Amino acid sequence: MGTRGGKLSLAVPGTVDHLARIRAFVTDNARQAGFPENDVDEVVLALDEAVANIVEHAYAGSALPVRERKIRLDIECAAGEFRVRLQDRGTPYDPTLAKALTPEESAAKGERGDDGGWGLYLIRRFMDNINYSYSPETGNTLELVRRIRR
Amino acid sequence: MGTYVKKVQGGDPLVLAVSGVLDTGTAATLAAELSAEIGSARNVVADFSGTEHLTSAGAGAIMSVRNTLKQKGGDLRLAALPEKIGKVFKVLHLDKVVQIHATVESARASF
Repeated sequence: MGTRGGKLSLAVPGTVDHLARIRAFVTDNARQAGFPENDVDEVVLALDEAVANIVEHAYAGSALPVRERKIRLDIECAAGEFRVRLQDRGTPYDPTLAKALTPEESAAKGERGDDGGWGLYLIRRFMDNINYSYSPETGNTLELVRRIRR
Repeated sequence: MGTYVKKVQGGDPLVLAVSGVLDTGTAATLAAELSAEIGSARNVVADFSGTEHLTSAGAGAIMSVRNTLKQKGGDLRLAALPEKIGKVFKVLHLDKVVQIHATVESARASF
């Protein structure tokens, strides 16, 4: 397990063009934290889904000028936990309020040909804790946590 | 020929190669390219061996295209999914809805 207990940050524009950069940032840090490659893939996917939600829900209808729509990621690896905090200044958007799908409902969406709505399902499946908060000063804060199992 | 979708083999079923990064930024293009390559075909095999990354948005584009084929009386079968790509369909229980095959040959034969 990586014993680095540091904190690393990345701030990018809140657009889909920067997903690759975010994936690379999370991949590097998840590997350094000591996750096996299979778990790295899961953490990266969860973060990809969370950022996609920010772009699509928090920033899509936001009055904020495009150049000010940023997403900040802070990664902290300590006490056996890999924590990623995502902050954005978009419209208040709490992804944890979305109704949890059952496996049957998830499959039914696919049968109907739905083209989305599974993001939170994947985040909940691959991360151990999801915490959301909002303040007018700091905007939306979403924290995703996964324990680093030995 | 598109960025994400390339025709591998014509006929029935049509075989298309799906590759690259299929996320929320590219899903709409993926769906459009699939529709363009499919045209009037009803039965399609999608070869995922060149897919690098797939999120729920990419999976959604696939399921949406499949629904269009079903409405024409056809179907879409998925083939040769790298493990981490197949995992997305399995975790979302979409493997209970769409047939996933280890090889393109198996998927073609299933029609």
